[in-house]
Amino acid sequence: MGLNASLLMGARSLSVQRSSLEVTGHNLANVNTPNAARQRTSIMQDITIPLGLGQQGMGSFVESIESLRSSFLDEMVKRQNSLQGLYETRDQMASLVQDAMGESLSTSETSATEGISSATGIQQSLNKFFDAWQDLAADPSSTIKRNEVITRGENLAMDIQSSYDRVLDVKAGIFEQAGSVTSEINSLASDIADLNDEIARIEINTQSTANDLRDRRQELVEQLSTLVNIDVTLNGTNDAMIDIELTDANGSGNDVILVNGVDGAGAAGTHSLSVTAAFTKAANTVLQISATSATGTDYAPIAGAQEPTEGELGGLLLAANSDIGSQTTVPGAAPASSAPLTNKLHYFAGQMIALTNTLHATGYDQAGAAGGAFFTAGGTAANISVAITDSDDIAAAGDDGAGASLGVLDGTVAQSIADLRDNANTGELYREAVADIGIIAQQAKRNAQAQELITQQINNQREAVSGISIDEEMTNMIAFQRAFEASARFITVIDQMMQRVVSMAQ
Amino acid sequence: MRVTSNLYPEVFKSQVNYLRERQLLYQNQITTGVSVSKSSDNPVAFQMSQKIAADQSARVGYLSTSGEVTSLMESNYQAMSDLMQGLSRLSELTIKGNNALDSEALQAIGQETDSLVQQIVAIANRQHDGNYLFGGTTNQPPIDESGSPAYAFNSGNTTSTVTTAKINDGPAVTTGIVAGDDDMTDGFDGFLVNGTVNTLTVIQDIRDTFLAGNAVTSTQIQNMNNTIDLASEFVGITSAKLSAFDLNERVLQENIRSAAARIDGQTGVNMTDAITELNRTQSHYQAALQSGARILNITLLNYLR
Repeated sequence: MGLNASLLMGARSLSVQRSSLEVTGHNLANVNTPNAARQRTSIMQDITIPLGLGQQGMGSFVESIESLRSSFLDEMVKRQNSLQGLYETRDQMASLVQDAMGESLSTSETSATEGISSATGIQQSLNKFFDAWQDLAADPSSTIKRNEVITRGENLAMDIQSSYDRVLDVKAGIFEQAGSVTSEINSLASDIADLNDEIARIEINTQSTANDLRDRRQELVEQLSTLVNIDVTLNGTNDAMIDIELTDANGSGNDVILVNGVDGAGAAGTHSLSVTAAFTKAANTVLQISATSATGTDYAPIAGAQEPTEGELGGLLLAANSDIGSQTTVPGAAPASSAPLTNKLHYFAGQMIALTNTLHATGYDQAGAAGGAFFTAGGTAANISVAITDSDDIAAAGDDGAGASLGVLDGTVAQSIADLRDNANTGELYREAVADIGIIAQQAKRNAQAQELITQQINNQREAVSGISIDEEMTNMIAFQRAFEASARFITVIDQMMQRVVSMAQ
Repeated sequence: MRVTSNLYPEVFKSQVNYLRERQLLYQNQITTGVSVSKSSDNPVAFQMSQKIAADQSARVGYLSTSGEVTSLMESNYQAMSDLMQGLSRLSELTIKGNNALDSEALQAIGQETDSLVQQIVAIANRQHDGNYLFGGTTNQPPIDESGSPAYAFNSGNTTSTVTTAKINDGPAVTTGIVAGDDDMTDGFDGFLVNGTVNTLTVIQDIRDTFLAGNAVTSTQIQNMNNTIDLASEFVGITSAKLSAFDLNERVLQENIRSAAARIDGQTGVNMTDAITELNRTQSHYQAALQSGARILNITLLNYLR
């Protein structure tokens, strides 16, 4: 090998070290970039030339710049993101629903003798409502106590309506958030399709891996996975591209496709997501998601196995339809423990109305007339109200056995209504509903905390593979810098040798 | 495990956040005095506490009702004592008014007897908070005084008084007593009438006998004795009920204290534990901040010049 070849080898060496330094600089620049994987130059020994003494190496060259990623860990992160999106959203929504119910225990509202008690919410109003009937039973002719019964009844009705209304406000918020989430899903799907296109073009043109664009695409896929559960596969015709569809629980083939190669968000057979119908309190609308496509099959709404079950959207669907529910009337039978909250609230309101009115109808008012409806008949949690406006119409007295009143000083019926406090379909039913929401919120919080830990551990594992370490990069930088200096020194030496050879000729 | 530049900050942030959450929890507990303020804190304890609190609310109501019926029963007891006193004097006069006295003396006794009859009628027609205590209706006393000196029970006696009240978790108790009515077979017995004795008739009969200047017969004396027995029975009833109500109040107060302790056991905060835990968490928090700051501040860059 001649001096010129040596010079060229030195120059290539400088180039190799410079490229490696540049990659180090790139890594340092992206040390805080989300999802950026560390890159390394893949340096290979150059060809060897057979000489009489043996094979002589020709230095080194950069074969490629590699991104250190684990597709297994990437897939794990995507999966855990979906679960975290689900649990965090459910935790957040269940807490909001619980707050909307306004039930709390406190020491501040009560005397020291009574201790801790219900400080706010329906339970407190319910206690005061029954207390008022009990007081009336002891002094049935008292106008003050009769008015107190009406006031407490109105307060209870107002609190039931308010709690129901606040719960529906949470649901309205869920609809709004679902609208934002579907828009974000469409936007991400579109961006991923664009990146597919860009990655494919770059990789075909340069015959190298578009590491940064793949990092960016992976970041978007992971963002998408926190919003909804998805399946990601390599595109059938170009494996530089990926396809994405909503996870189909039973793989029926009726897929909701979000990205298909260079198409996404509704274009050419892919689907764009949206909330099927706007929320109204009167209809207590069911939250459904529709998938529409320019050329493919529409799903309006997405149902069954294709319906999102994880991610933020899955959490919103669960909170809106399973936790809150869409009941607008009083159910005919007692809802199960797992029934949605609105079923329980309507049933509770219906029972309060029916049980109170039934007893009230057996009583007699101050004028000796048979009792009418205390609460307006046929009401629900949305519109329960007190029918009586004149306190003399409260039928506190019982029947004398001959179809007449036991008298204005009799409080038998008032006491019977006060005894509804212990009825399984009034206070107990309501307390169970509050406990059920508490259990959902508690479980959601635990799941979210556990999932956060799992996701963090998976992220840590991925970080261990792909993450950028400043210390490592600084060490590499020194190594490449020294190698660069050494190569420069090598060129200087060859140059001096060439000068010596040239000066010999002078 | 390879530890990268971003692993430390992420883990550190998560750990510090956890410690801050714990501090917030203990601070809330110390401030509010409850460890379970929302259902999700402990659904079972919350539900149980709400149930106990609802029962507690009922007990406070019972206590109030118990106070009212005790006041009513004190009025009843006072009335029965007064009745007993009047009937005792009547009995004395009945025994005194025998054949040994002349007509004028007997008529004089008759005057006092008449006064006692009026007194007993007034007792039967006594009011409490504007309502007749022992029967009658809102506008009608148990005994009609309009025919004075001849008195008679008013009809419709069963329709006026508060006869029962619920003063504990058990069935309602009878709190009122009635004077009675003319119909001695209808079961509407009272302190002036039962199945065999009609005090109003007996005392009027004795009064009329005396006013006519006659001595009473042994049958009338026996009848008078029977009225005293009947009144005594009601003095005993009202006295026993007063004792029972007093005991009930004490039991209710104890139940309220005990229920408050049960709720506190379910949801209250052990301040010593809470403050100790807060101190412990704060120590961890300070240590985490110190160690985190030291680790985050040092990189290879510090040694490269």
